[in-house]
Amino acid sequence: MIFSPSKESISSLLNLLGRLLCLLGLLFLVPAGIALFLGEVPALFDFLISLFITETAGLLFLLFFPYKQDLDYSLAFLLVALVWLILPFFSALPLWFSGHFKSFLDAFFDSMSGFTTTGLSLIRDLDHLFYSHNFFRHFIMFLGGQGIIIVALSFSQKASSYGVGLYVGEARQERILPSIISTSRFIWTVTLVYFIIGSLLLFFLGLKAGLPYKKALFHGIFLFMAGFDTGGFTPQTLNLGYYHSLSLELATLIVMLLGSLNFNLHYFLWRKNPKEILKNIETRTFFISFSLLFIFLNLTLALNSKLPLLELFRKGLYQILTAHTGCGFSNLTVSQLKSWAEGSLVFIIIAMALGGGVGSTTGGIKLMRVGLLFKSIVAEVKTWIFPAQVKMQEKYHHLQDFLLEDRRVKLAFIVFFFYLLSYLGGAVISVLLGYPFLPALFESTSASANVGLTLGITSPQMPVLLKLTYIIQMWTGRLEFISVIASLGIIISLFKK
Amino acid sequence: MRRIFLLFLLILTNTLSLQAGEFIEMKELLAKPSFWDSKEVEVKAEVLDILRRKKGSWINILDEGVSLGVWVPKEVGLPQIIYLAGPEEKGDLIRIKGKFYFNNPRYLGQTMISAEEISLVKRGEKFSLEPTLKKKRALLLWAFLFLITGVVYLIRNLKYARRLSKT
Repeated sequence: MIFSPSKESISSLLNLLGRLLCLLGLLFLVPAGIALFLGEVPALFDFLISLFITETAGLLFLLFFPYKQDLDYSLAFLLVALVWLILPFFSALPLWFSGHFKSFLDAFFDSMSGFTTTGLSLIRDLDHLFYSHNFFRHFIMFLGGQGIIIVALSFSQKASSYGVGLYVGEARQERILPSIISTSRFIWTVTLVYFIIGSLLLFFLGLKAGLPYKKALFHGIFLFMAGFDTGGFTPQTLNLGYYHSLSLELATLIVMLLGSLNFNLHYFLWRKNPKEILKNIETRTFFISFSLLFIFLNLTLALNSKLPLLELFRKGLYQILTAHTGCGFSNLTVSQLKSWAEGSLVFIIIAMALGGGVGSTTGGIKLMRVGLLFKSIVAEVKTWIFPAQVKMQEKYHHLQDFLLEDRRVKLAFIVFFFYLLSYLGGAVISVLLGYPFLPALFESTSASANVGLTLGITSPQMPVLLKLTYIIQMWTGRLEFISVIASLGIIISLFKK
Repeated sequence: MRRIFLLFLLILTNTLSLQAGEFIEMKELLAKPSFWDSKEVEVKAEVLDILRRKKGSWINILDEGVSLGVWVPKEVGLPQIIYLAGPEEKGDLIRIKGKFYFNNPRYLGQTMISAEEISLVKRGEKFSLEPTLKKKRALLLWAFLFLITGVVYLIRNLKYARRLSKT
């Protein structure tokens, strides 16, 4: 039996969508305010036009679709999937009006890339972009990283029954505090504290690197927003190479590492037991996977290039961390990355595919699932080795001790399977469009795991089909497929009705 | 004999024009970085930024969407740069002669040019971008539509609230 929603619930769903559009419209006031403050009049017009269009659309939804009943848990998934398509669409408006995109699809690509914290970009002439437009690119990355629903829930006064569905639908499995609203507010508190400290640190390092005050301030904010939300947009074409500063590179590494941590771990670090970080399955998995990948990458680099040791270490460390945390900042040019041996690129692909912590701002399969799958393999091997009479129960630690249950392993495997399918699917489409396999897999994994590293395939000149493929990959990857697949089921049920 | 002489002249003029300084596009540099590695190059590009350091300056330059860092030691004189590239500024156009490095171990393994000579080719300019007439009209139209929808929504909500208070 397939669940089929009533007309009343669909009307409520569209009403909620309208409310979120109105909220997005109001958020356009932030970059509009910056444009006004900096005297960037054409950009101000872009944001105001977008604001009025979005608000009008939101009000029309509210007018035509009254709120009739609370949403069912499963409809919340459809709402999340729709929100993550429609909000990037409306956010593409000011980007499109900026005149820096070849087509509206390209602007939508960048907007989706921003919201899903991917960081792949089709923008042209980035170095001549208005500060307010550039702020907006990073701002949507910040909102998307925190979670659009988290943003909306933070503004709510009372909890709703479907709130949990919305929260889970946005690929967040864990609550930190008893209620979803208090959890959302905690996530924002953590982020704001880091935002102030991180932006100030990056501002001072920017000044030290030789940037003028205004640029250092804005770049500090931009880099923090893109780094902490593991997005990877940068304000200049040269990426991190623009600053020619080792200390700034190191600071961004810290910011992206903090962003890739599960918010629950932040909670433990702040309020409970900081030692949790040493025992947690996610941090342990990260330490093992990072160490192995780092060693293998450096070995392949050492065998295939004549780079000095220190340089090898610096480049290898940065690329593995930026790939593993899903950030996508780079201290290399595309040509430098392209010149790496295929073996080295394979390790970067693996790091991108694995991703960071569950309940963080990263994408990819996620460390918890990798840890669980690894533990289940170990448990299985143990049953082969030990006599049948010996009953063993595998455990793992995540905030508390858990037994390794089949249900959890099954769920982890399903998500793992969908990610794998997406990584390979995107690569196959690119190969069919004429790209070589390894770069195609690299780019596809980067899009699907919301990383943003590129070997140069992503460009305004790439085929429309590939742009659409990457957009779908970024969208489904950010929502960890669950919301999208549940939504497809609901849509099919509507047609069967 | 005349043919040989003409051929000689042709080859000579070509060679001389090369020595006179042929600019290499930065796109070309980054397309074949291994070929150009550690070779003398001459590029013409717009100035994005100057980051001053103790022993010199980093100049970030831009040419047709391709960006690169240039290290200018203190002993190499910098021309007076007034305009840096920005949303409403076309940066000064400069000519840089120097050595191109794909991975320079002295500077964090960066792809860069180590400058030996820099000169100003063309002064940049500041221009004021005004919103186009189309944008002005669109703003007015959408503001009007938003106002109408907002008023309709408010009236409907007021009616609904009144109905609720009566019951």
